[in-house]
Amino acid sequence: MRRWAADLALGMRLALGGGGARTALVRLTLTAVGVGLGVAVLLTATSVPNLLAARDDRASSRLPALGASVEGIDPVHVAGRNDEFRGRGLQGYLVQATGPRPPAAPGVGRLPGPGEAVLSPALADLLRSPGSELLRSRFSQRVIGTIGDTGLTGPNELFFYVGSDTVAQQPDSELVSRFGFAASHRPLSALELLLVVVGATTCLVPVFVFVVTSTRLAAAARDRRLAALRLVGADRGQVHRIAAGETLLGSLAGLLAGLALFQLIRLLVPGITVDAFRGGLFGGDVVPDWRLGVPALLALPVLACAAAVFALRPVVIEPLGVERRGTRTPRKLVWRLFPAVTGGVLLLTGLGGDGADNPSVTVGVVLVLTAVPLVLPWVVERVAGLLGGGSPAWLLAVRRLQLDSATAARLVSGVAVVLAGSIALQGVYARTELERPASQDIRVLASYYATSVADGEAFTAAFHALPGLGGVPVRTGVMLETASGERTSAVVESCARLRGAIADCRDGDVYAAATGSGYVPEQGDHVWFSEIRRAHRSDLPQWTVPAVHRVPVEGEELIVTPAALATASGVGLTVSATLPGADPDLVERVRNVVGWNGSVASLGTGRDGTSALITRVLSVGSVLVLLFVAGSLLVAAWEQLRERRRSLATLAANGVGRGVLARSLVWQLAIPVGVAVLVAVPAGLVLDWLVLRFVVHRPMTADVSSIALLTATAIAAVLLVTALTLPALWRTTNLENLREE
Amino acid sequence: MSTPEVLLEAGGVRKAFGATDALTSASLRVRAGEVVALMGPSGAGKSTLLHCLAGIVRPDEGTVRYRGADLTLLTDRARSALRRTDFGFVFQFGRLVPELTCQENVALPLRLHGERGRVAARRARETLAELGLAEVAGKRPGEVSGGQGQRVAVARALVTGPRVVFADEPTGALDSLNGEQVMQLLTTAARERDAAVVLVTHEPRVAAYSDREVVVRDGRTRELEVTR
Repeated sequence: MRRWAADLALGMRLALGGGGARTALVRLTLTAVGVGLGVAVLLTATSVPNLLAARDDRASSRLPALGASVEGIDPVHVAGRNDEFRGRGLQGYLVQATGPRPPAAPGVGRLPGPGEAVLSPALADLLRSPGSELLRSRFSQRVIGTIGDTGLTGPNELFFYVGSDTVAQQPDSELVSRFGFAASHRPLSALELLLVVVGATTCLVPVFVFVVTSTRLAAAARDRRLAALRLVGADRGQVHRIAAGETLLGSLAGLLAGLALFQLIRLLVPGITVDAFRGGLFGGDVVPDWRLGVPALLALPVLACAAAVFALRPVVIEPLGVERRGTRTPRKLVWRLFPAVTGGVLLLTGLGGDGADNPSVTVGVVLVLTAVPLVLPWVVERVAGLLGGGSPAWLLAVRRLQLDSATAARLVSGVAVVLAGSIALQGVYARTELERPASQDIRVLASYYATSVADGEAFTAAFHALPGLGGVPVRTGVMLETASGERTSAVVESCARLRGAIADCRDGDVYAAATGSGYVPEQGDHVWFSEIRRAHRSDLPQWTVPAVHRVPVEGEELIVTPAALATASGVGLTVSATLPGADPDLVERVRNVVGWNGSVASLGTGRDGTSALITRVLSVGSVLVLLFVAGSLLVAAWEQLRERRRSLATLAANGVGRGVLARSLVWQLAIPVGVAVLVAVPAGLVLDWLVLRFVVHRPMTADVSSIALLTATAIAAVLLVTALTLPALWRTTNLENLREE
Repeated sequence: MSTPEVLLEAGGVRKAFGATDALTSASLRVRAGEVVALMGPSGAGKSTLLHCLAGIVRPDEGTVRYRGADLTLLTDRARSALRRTDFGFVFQFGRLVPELTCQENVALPLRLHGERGRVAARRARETLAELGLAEVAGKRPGEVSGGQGQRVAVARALVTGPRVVFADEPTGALDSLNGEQVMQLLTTAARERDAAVVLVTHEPRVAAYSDREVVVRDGRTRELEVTR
């Protein structure tokens, strides 16, 4: 064991290199960067379940707990409110204490009394910010405190507790003695899980490809170094351990860098205010599931070391130098196709059953995606083999690729995976966006809970007084319920408005459509207003139905004239209207008229926020990974120039122009990248189709602009990398490089 | 006075690389403490014979025995162990590891053999000091001259106290003055440590440091009578 440790330590010492060994340091850095990114991606991905669970816990901890009273606690009337301000969601509770010992709400020092409010820090900031004038009238209460982190699902959440003395009359109020449930953690849905797995794979495969490539950089120098070690007595096992040790240091550095990067992500997360994050994320909630995270963390360094040892497979390191094992044989397609075929079979069997809920679908998608970097080197080799001569630059590039296309193919396979994964994700995202109604189609429904006919009429008057809403129809509805639980809805309408349909309308009467079905009240029926919660009702009926006249009216089945309700006690009416447009300022004014005695909901804007969130994060991740792959292409190109400096200098000495060499560099990158795009785009579209068709159950949508953008980015990366490589090429073609050591 | 022990004994060694015979029938005996020069024109098979004697290359036919043990039958691990403990090497370009300092290069065989880092470093420092190379201990091979690099390679070859040092054109990349210094150092230090030296060279000036010369020509060996 001590020998193993000593060999690994020697490898680490060699990896450090030092001032004179730039390549060793470059390799060490690249391995560390690759492993670091991989670690950060893995830790973040494995944090998603805990993050969602923490949000569930936080949300559950403030839910009013219905049920038995708690000794020593005076219950409070609580009514939940969902509100909006310029598209941003606000949530909160109206509260009304029944005694001096109300239950404690999480993060709230004292529940507000009538005319008081406790606000989340983000809501308090929003109220202070310019442009929030229309919101301030909804929060005219005296603010007695801010909600602490324990009472919020995210640092940017707009949440409130508003004290009121009319909560008990609200139709949706509850009488509760305790806040908080034991959260029932919602597992990721099949689509969410699929998105996380596909996204993580899309980000991780290029990172892993990069780590593998970094272990193979400067292979010639490494082989010489290991041969020197063999000469002074290292056996083959020791050489493998030393090679692993060389990578181990970079891996360990990467592990630390990845942990640091993950901490940085946790620090930065609360600053994200993108809508899809709905209130943002607490850094403290981003905690990896260590059952997944620890094996994943250990796997990366182990894989990196294994890749370093695997890279020695085609060579025999002997004391006199390196021997290749036989002649270079063409790549075999059979085993490379194995993951793709297995993935395809899993997909077909999984999709034939219960769709996305079948884990084989997820595994299948991942296998298909990971098959891309395996199949691509074979395709690049075959394509390069088919290419013939042309201009000198083309010929040099083609012959170089025919000699060794492995490095280029390996690197561009990262591009291919990012492209394929991104195309699939963008397609899913595009479909969800496509199904969002255009802003002019969004309907805004205002509902006001009136406690009397006069209250309802006052609201109606205030509503109609708003500019442009004068003639908007308003419906005043009421739900009636008998002791036996039979229910029916009725509309409260004045005779003045009913004259056209009921000529002999008399205020105080009730009219029923002649064609009415279901429960139709009859004179003398005892009923309750069912929007007043049963718990708040007395056992005495709230209303005795007066004479009901059958009339031939269309639409409403039961019409109650206002005076008919004069004998009712504790009336609960809902006054509602649909706004003709969605002018943001007008909507805010309507909200202010409704106040907290109702709600204003935008219909048709609902969408699956979690999917949108995951998709958006992964889309950003894909672009970052693409940039990262471009960076790795650049480093690989530099290292290749270094290794080939003598042959390039020889070409220059023989009169081959620098322009020819530069163009050959472009072709050397462009051919594999072109093949990668040709492989990745269909693969991504097939994945997109499979996910949309069988998981989301939507028709296929290809986000052409995203595909074009990603492809253009890949092409731009090739050109940029080539441009950045040119100075190194000019130095390489210096005839000084022809000198012997 | 007793006859020194026979350390290396090769008999009927044949080695071909593809269709080309490098050695056809080479035989040689090396005793403890003696310096043997393998002479001959380029392509005669000198280096191949040296590699066979060192157990680096396995002959196609014939035997190579080190202190009675047939090297051709030893495993890679056993031959590697021999290179760490009983053999030392000095090649034309030093074959030092550029990432390590000169001292670390000298300590390398000890470290590979499992010696503790501190002990290995001390012995490397002592060896460098004995050979007058203390001032380059902390430098990397790329920071010292070619002659100094070769002398560091000599130090590395001697640090384990080997019984045989194999030197393949040790002065081939040096000017004559540096070449003289390296040969002086190598042969003197080896004799002081009672180590045998098998030296490949085509330069009579270098061969003059040997006790006896063996000519390799067309893959065969022939002993030369020389008087020193």
